This record gives sequence, C-alpha cells and structure tokens, in this order.
Amino acid sequence: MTKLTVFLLASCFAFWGARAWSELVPDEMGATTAGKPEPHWFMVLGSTGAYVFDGDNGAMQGSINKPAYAPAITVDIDREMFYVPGSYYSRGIYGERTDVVVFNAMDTLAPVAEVRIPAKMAAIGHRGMSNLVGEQFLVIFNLTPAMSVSVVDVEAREFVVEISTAGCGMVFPVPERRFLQLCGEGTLQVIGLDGRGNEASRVRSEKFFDIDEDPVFDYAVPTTDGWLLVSFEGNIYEVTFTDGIQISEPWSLLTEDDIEERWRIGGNQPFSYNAATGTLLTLMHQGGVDTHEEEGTEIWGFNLNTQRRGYRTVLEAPASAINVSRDADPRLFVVSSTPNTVLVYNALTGRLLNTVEEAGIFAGAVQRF
Amino acid sequence: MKPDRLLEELAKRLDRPITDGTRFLAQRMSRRGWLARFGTLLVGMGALPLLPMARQVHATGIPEMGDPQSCDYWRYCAFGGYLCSCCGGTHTQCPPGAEPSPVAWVGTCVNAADGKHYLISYNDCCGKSLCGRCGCHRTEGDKPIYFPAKSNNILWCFGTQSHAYTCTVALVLAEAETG
Repeated sequence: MTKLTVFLLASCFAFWGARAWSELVPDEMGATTAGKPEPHWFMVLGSTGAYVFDGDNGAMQGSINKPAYAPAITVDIDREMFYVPGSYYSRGIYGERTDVVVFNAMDTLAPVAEVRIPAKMAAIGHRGMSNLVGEQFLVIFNLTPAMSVSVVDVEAREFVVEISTAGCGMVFPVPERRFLQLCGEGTLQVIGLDGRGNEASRVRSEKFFDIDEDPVFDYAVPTTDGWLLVSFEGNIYEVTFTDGIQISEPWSLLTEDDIEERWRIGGNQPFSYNAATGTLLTLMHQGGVDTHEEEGTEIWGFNLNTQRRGYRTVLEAPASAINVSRDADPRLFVVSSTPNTVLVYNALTGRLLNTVEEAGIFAGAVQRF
Repeated sequence: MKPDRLLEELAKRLDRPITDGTRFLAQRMSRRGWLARFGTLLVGMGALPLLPMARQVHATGIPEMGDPQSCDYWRYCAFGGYLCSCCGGTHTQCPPGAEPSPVAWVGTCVNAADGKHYLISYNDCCGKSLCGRCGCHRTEGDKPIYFPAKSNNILWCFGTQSHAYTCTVALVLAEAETG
C-alpha cells in the first residue's frame, strides 16, 4: 500500500466520522424523580444514607441524605415529605454541633427545608426515636443522658418546645395527638400535646414488668388500635388507649418444647406486625439469658388473633432486623448478616421471593412505607 | 468515702430529671437494684470530674489475666463497640487525641483471676474517626435504651466536645457487693 492510498483511506474515515458526529444528538444530563411509595417498598438505613428499594423487583428507587448520627426517618405521605433528624458537626466529626430536622421532598428526595432543634438528639438508629404525632408534630427523642423530647411543628416548620420525660424514652404515636413511652421502672407513659404542640396531659400506667427480671424491648410495633410490646423472655403485651392505658395479659411466643430447646427472640429489630392480616413475625435464635441482641437463625410467623404459630423459616444466614409491609399481601424484609443484603419473603408463608444485594452501605435497620 | 456516702453526695449534684429517675431504684435492696441505682447515678455525672471512684480503685490494682485486645477479656462482659486497646489506646486509656466521655454505662463482670465480681464502667472515647478494629458486643446484664445506665446500645459520648464515637474503654470501678 502506497503512502497516497493510506492518506486517501484515512481521509475517507475522517469524513464519514465527522458526518456521523454531526448527526448525533448529544445526551442531556438530568435527574429522575421518585414515584409515590408502593406498599412493597422498603428503606434500608445505613451509616451514610437511607436507600429505598422496591421489594418486588429489588430495584433501587433512590436515596435520602442521612448523617451517621441520625435516628430514624419519618414518612409523611400526606405532605409528601421525609423528615430526617440528625446531628451535624462543623468539621465533619468535630466542631460546633448542630441538630436539625431536614425536610426532604418525596419526589426529588432532596432537602427543601430544615428546622433547628436542641443539640440533644439521641443518636440511636431506631424507629422509636422520632415519629409524627397528631399528623402535625414531629417528636424527637433526646438523650443527654437525661431523657426528653423535642417537638417540631411540621406545618409551620418550626421548633415548638422541649418536654422533659424523666425516666421514660422513645416516641410511639397514639391517636388524639398523644405518644407512648417506655419507662425504666416497668411502666408506660402517654403524653398528650395541645394544638400548638405543648404538653397538655401526662398519664402513667401501673407497673407491669420488672426491668431486672424480664424487660420489654425498647422497640414496639403498631397494631390496629395500639402498640405491641415483646419482652426479652418472649412475652407479648398489647397496649390500647381507649380509656387511659390498657395493657393486656401477656402470652408467650414459646411453647414448653421451644423453651426446652432454648429458643429466644433477639436482634436489633427483632419483630414486626402486619395489622391487615394479623401476622406477627419474630426473629428467633437458640441461646441463654442476655442474648436478646443475638442474630436470629429462624423467622417465626404467628397469628396474633389466635396466638398460634403458623410457620417457621430457617434463614440461610443469620439476621438482625426485620420489618413487614402494611398491605394484605405482605412482604417481610430481612436484613441479613451477609453484607448489605436484604431478603424479601412472603410474610404469610415464609417463602423466599427475592434477594436484594448491595442494599445500602453498612445497612442496619429496615423501615417500611 | 463509703459507696453509700459517695452516692448520697453525688445525688445532691445531679439534675432533677436524673434524680427523679433514681427515686424508685433507691427503694430496692437487692444487689442488682443497687447496681442499677449506682449506674443511674453515674449517668448524671457529666458535670463532675472524671470518675473519682475509678481513680481510687485503679491505684490499688487487682489481679489480671486475659488479653485486653480480645473480646473474651473478662472486663468486656457488657461491652458494646470497638476495643480502644486495638485502636492506639489501652483498655483504660483513649487513643491519642480522643476525648474520654465522663459518663458511661456499667456492667458487672467476674474476674477469673480472683473469682470476684467487679463493677465495670464502659466509657466511650470520642471526637476521632470510628476506629473500626476489634468490634466487640456482649450483652451480660444489658438493658433496653429506656434504662440508659445499663444499655450498651447508646452512643455514650456525652459531656464531650463531639459525640462522634471512636472506641470504648473498660474501667474497674469497685468490687461488686453480693447478697
């Protein structure tokens, strides 16, 4: 091949290349928006963010900013907002501390407003750390280690007041602008707010458990008309609020054979309840006293109405946190000890449907919508 | 100073919410109840100098056995976090630049070297990046978060400049009373 031929061929390629380039429409960069949450969506809380997935197909929908020291994310469907309380330092992990509630829009998953709160927020990744009370007030649990709550009016987007809750912690909403707390002396406390978010009432229950003998987990799940508590020894209490605070007689998750085989409930988020079907799910392991945080090796499904176990499912790998969707065809979300993996089960049968891998960074807790 | 007297003195200096929280415990005479009361009082010590009782006991010394860089070490029976002994510190000292938290949760552990029970204070070291080495989580006597004095799930960087968690030390406070 002569030099002339090489030159002509190169010229042709250059010509056609340039023509192809001129016809190409360049990509335009943008950003998608998230849809309205579906019943089988779940959110995994990691150290650097909250990651939203569709449990039916495992597709990630987006993520919500969250600092490491943020307790829980509250979903407000009516206002199409996610509320993220968190602590921030001016130099990352040191410097001036600022605690704020960041309002994130549900479509862009991006911050649109923030409300500063007292720098006392409890830095515990736990669903009972903040919740919406009376659909207008976000109540955030403080621990300094004195216990109190901060009240934020999400309609006015302003901090209202700090309320001391000495001896009692957590925030679980109750109708009529009230919230439930668990107390170290073995009682429950319900605090009511007035229309401006200030304390209007405070009621304490009779003592019903002993902190040394068999405390209830600091975690509770909502039932149709109240909250369900579980003790370290596997006793179930249902709490309702039609007239003050009513606490049911406990029943046990465990049969005599289960106790003989040393089965126990345990984990960081060890039980969940689907009110639409009356299904209670528990994370179980075999162990002795004080193993209430040990990872579970089996999921047990109960009918809360009959207090009977419907199934047992052996997990491929131990798990520390579970949650169940709210709908009548419920999905069970299990945070596995296999790194960053969430397993999706049919909550009524215990059949594995889906495995979501790379589900968040350092995933710990799982929330439902 | 005797423990009861020390507790009485400390109680006078605590904020009201904390003392309210201890009132019901003060009526309990069982050993576990006493331990819980002691722990709850410690919770209110943020404004006090660092654990005067801990200093006193450290001066006397106790027989030791085991590896402080192992989660099996006897002092770690109610430990939750990263071992400072693996992070540039020791089992009683924070790593360089980390700030010791003056408040803590407590556990009661058996020292195999002498068979005695000891009160252990688990103090977080704060303000540096997460150590990430020698993670250790044991739950002997651990209680839920709403009983903070004996809960190892709480980030205990209280009374420090930053509450960013680095690692945790285990200090012997006193020999635990029995009966």
